[in-house]
Amino acid sequence: MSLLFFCMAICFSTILKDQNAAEIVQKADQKMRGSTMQAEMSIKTTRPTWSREMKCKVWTKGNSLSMILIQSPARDKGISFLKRNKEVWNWLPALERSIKLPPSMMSQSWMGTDFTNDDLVKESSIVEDYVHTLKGDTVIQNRECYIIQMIPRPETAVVWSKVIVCIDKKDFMELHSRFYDEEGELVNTMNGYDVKMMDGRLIPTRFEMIPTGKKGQKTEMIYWFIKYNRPIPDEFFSTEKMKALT
Amino acid sequence: MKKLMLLFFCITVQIPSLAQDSLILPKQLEVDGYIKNLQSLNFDRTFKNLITLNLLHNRLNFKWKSSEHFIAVTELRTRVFWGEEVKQTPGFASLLRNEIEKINLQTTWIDNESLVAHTNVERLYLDYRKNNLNVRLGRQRINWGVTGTWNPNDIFNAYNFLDFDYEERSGVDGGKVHLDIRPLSSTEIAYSFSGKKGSVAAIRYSLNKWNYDMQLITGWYNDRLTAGLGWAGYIKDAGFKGETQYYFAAKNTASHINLTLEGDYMLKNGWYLNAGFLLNQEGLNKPVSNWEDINLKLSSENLMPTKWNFILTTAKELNPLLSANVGVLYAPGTELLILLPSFNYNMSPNLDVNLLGQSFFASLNGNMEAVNHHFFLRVKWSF
Repeated sequence: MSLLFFCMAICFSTILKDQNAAEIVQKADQKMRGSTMQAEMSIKTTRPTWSREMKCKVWTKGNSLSMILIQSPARDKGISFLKRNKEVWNWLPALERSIKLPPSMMSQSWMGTDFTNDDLVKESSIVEDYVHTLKGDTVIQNRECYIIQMIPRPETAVVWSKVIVCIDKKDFMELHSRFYDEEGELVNTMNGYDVKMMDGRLIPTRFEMIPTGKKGQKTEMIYWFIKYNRPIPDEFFSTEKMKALT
Repeated sequence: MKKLMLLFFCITVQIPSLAQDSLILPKQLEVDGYIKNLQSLNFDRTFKNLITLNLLHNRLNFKWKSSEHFIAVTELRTRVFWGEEVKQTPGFASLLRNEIEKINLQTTWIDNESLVAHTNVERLYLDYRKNNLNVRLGRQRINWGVTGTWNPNDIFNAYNFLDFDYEERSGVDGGKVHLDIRPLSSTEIAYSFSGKKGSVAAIRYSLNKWNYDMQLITGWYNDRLTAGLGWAGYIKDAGFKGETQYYFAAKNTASHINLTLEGDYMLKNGWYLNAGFLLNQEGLNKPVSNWEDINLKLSSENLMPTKWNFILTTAKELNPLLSANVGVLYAPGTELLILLPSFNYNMSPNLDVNLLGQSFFASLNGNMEAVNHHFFLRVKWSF
């Protein structure tokens, strides 16, 4: 009887822990993204012999709507990306043409960076598309963090086999993440730095994506302006609006 | 003429330096563009006779945002040609006019046997945008294409897909009214004067259903009724797009149809594959005895000189700065084969170098043989 009670207690605590893990990820996701977000950022790609920097504007609403506009360099100025649910379009101003991207393109590098198309337009949701498990605690940048394992749900089109995220216990900031491929090999490591108050929220404002085993290679994403929870109508996220972004 | 030349060089030299971050221009004015140099090497079938052509190409785009809702756009394209092809082509300058432009807004400011300099106003329009309404009047590109290589639905501005150096394509003189019904559903009415041939007036209804973008088109193309259908969606993880356009019979012409289907897929190792097919019902379907019978001067109705056309393109980003692309086009009835290799290299943030080839093979008098080969080196600086 006591053994049964002990087993039930373990099962119950595991379920509770996993529920907690999902909630922690949801809180961190919600904090970084808000119900809506308008941001301006720089993306710097570094390789051993060269580097490139671009500036972008981003608009997101929930998990299903997002838009990105490239502002510099001049050769790419005006290119934009729109995501609505699982569909993604790319507007090329020189051609005055929007192109619908095939789903197989989502796992590929975005504009030559170490981020994938999926990372940028967030086709997959880190809350809904994964099963979350609390794995322990750690300290990152003098902050107490949860370690959470995320395994994609079988029906989702997530490119990773596993993601480990470390989330600050007090302020729910994602400070460290590791992405594993189908063979279980570590592919990318992402670190969050430069914690700042942006529009009333304490968040990391610089993210570094470092591919494994590629010396001198990384991509940095630096947010220098963010506004949260300002109303953006659903109609803004349309193939017509993406042509006229400024 | 000297004044005009001086003005051109002042503009092309001054604008890039103005277009830096420190640019002191009115906030409403945006200026951008590029300068390209294209060196063409044109060989005959045996690689013996070489004809060269140099092209210095400048585009200046001016956008004036006079208010939240009004924008005025002017885009100028200036080209300076020199080399053997200029000398050997009678009336070279007369071939530079975009035929679908009704109003003559071009000037040939140098035209001698070895050098031709030509400027055209490529875009000149007023744009009004408020809520779900967009109205655009003037010289503009009305682009209704959905697929990548051939666009039967692009009834206003058809182009030759081999003309890789003209990314923006020519404009038409006309107007359009666009009304968004829902975020991915809209209707657009457009009208253009199309030069000597007549005019095009059409309406398009676009919608999104089952993760497919779809469009229905109907209207008048010169003297005849036309109707079309286009779509872009997925089959599993692969893109699946298509366009078809039907031209009804008119006084001196029979009805005919153009149909294109296209699939694309990105392999996990980064290789991009694109397979396309075009049926041009009026195209040639038999081998020709003379290469001159294959007319590469194309229109919306006639997107390829040949009836059945297949193209397979593969592209790979070798590193974020260097990419390679190879296309193979084959038209079985005419036994026309075109090889299209290219390399693109980004030397610095706004400086790109492209190396491209176009090799033509055809069955002439029953023998499959090389016809000619073209190689291009292009340097492009965007500002």
